[in-house]
Amino acid sequence: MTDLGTGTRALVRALLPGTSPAASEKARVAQLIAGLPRPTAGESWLLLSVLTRRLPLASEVQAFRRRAAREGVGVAIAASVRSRRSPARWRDLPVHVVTDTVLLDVHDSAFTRLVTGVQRVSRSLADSWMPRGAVLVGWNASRTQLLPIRPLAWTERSRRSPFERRAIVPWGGWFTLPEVVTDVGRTTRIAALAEFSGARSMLIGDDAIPLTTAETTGPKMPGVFSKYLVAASRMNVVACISEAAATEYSGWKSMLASAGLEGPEIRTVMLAETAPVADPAWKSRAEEKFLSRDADGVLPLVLCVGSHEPRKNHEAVLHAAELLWREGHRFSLVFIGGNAWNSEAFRTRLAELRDGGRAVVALRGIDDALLWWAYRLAAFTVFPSINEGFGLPVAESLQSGTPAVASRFGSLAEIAAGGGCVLVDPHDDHSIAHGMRSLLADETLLATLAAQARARPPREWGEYADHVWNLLME
Amino acid sequence: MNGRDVTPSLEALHQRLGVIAPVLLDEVPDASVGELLALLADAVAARLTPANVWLLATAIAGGYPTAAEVDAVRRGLELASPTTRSGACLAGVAVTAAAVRSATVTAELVDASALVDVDFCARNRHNTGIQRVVRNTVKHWNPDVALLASWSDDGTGYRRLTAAQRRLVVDWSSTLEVAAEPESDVLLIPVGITVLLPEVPAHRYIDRLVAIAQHSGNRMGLIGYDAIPLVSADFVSEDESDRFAHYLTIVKHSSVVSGISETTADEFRSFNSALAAQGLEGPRVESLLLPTVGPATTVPASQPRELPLVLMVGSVEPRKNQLGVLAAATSLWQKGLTFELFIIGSGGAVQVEELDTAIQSARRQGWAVSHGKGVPDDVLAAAYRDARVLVFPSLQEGYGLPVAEALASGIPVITSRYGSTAEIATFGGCILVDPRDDDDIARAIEEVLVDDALHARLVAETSKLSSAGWPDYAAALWTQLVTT
Repeated sequence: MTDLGTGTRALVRALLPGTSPAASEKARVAQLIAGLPRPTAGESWLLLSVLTRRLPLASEVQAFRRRAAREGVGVAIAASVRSRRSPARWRDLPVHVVTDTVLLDVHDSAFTRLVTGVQRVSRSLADSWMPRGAVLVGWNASRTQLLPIRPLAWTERSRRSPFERRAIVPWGGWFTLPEVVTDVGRTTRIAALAEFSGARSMLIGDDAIPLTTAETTGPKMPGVFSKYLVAASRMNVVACISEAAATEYSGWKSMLASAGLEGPEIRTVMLAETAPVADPAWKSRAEEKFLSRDADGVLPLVLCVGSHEPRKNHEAVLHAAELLWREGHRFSLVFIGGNAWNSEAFRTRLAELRDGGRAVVALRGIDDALLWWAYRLAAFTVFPSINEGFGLPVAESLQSGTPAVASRFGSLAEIAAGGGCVLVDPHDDHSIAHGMRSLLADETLLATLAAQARARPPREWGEYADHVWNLLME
Repeated sequence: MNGRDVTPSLEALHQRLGVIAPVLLDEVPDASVGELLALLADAVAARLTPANVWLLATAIAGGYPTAAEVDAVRRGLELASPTTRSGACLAGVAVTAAAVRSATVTAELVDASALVDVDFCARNRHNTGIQRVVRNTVKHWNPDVALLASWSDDGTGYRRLTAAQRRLVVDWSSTLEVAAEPESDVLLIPVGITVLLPEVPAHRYIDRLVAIAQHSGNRMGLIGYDAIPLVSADFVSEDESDRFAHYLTIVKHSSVVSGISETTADEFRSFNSALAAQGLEGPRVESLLLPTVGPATTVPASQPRELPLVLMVGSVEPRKNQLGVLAAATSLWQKGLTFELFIIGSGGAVQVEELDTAIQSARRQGWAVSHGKGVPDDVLAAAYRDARVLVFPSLQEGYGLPVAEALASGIPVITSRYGSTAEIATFGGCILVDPRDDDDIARAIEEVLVDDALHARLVAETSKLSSAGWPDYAAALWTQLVTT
């Protein structure tokens, strides 16, 4: 990391290369005024970032430039400096200008103990990029300053004072956002950073589901996601986690032409697909937890992993299962996943089926060690999602050697192309039932698919992080 | 009550079931409400298509079901025994049935080629953008084949317009006053026809419209205006983007969308291409450029103005770029050019305050600039009559009505070099600029102010515009959305 320092000294070094900063503050301001009679948008952005000690919004950059054009850059600079006089602003940290630096914005991941797909991406990039000199960054409480995360705080997942006591602003270099940001204060400043900082900027594109499948997302999500897409539209490249995600982002990108925007390059770096390690010590507990018996012995286990949100289509799975039970098929059905918005109808239906004597249960808060065993104990898994950016449970199932019933399009079809899956139409309960029936009734097919699953080579997270790094450095 | 012990709500249910019975049954018997419900449930269980389920659910509830309710009724019917089928249907639509406020809603099958949703225009006097398109279009459609409808107050189903609502839609004028009338108690049920959405529906109707598009077996046709809440999300509220994303869930299950420009059509085609990730194709996308029609009001000629008039028309908001125009004008005034800038448009309090503060500060310099909010039609018409040029460097438009109005009035236009405004500009009369570059806007204003030959050439180009009007648009749109 090259640190040009703070204040007007850093501004002279960054914006007037070849000029050495004068001794006094007043003289350095004069240097800037003389050297930047009509500052560009990028120069204005950096001036504001340093002088106001806050990353500016695009509208503030525009207002600054208009004022500079109208009244002179000296007046505009003086007004920016004055804006810091409010007592509320005294605590803003001085801003260091850094060049030639890779910044990785993992604010949310640094503060959560959740391990969803998004967190796995953030962690793999952070763990693999830190040794190469990447700086992890988060945001101050008012979401106006970028603060470096102490490497030790990250590795220890410590939430107590994770930040260094200084703010930074990139001038050139690289900026990567692996998280889906729902904090609009943060996305609007990231949008301006991507547009004006000169950094090569990249966003990891998980999916555009709030835009393309709004009927399945939680309240308010599409509105917030639209602001996140504004930040995406200012990036250099979106690294999509599957071809399906790239299809969604490419469609979105071509809409931008109507606003005269080019938008980012859309590329695909397929997520990792690794074999979860099943620790033998947990086997008997897992068997006790997941397996059911009837008079004839242990029932084949059908496993469905994922939260009970409408997009995951769990009501259809319940209906398909009931059709099969009525046909006389023997199996138990286990859901593993948290409750989500709008999961009441699912829970009600599940309770009715249990009351009717069906071997079905929904578990949550399951340790990963048990989950890995659940995949291994299952005869097959079911994942007929309406839309997925990747579909981690299908990949995990296959890497455990367990066949999967999955939706016949999008990222699930991509994963399935490597073998081990039965593809179904998730909009048709009978198609789901047909896929499940074929694996319950046809032992040869089940064995063939299991062999295909076991033959799949894993793709490691380190490899994923390398590919994303190479894309950033292109 | 013919001595029978039935409540009004059961009588209404009986009537509604009777209305759909001929669609679902080969023979309609004279049966009690319970018997009829059982017969219909049996018929639908035997032919469990989404359209049949939607129709039965609609008649039972007295309003349109959501997609989740259609699923619930379908699954319930599939698993129910013959004796529990009626109960499964009733349970599946309980939420919508409870949302229907009137207990005496009866039903009629729509006997027209298209059911046209003009809810907003029927309830509001507001008349910009979308409303102008809707009012100027639907009035030219034959009422025998195009049945105009609004939603019931409880938002559960379409009703015929009241006489007052009808006047608001087809006889609108800025002075029209209508008194509210009680709404119809008859639910309109479309079967095998086209449902048209020439407006962007309110959020609370969207779930039911999705079910109509996805499950009812009716075709759904839309006018596509723009994807601004998505593409230019930085200029709209989160709620607006949210509503638009949910609107797109109707779009993806619709049959056809007609974009008001090729630019808009391309936005919907782009959305369609994103749908491949979820195994859907989306609607057929057509485009039909809105007609280039001048302002409704015209005023007689008068004395020329003291200074050349640079006119800007449009709602006051960042997307329309008033501050960019003001910055461009300021740089020209500073260079010594003399002209008057007149900005016409209303907007939110914050935006108007920001603009007016900037205008005040320019006026203190002695520069001729003013802002008209809520100006009467004759003032707008006089401005179009007198203007040297219209400046309209909007960051995004689905069409750009002021551009068309100015050109139809013989006024040259400075507008954005991409998107729908660039499309309109291909007919001539325009200078294209980068709306994100104040200097580029200034350059164009200066050219058209100082170069009389250029101005004359642009004015001459405006006379070659197509004379097609709203009746032509309405006819072509009907063909695209209903008969093709």
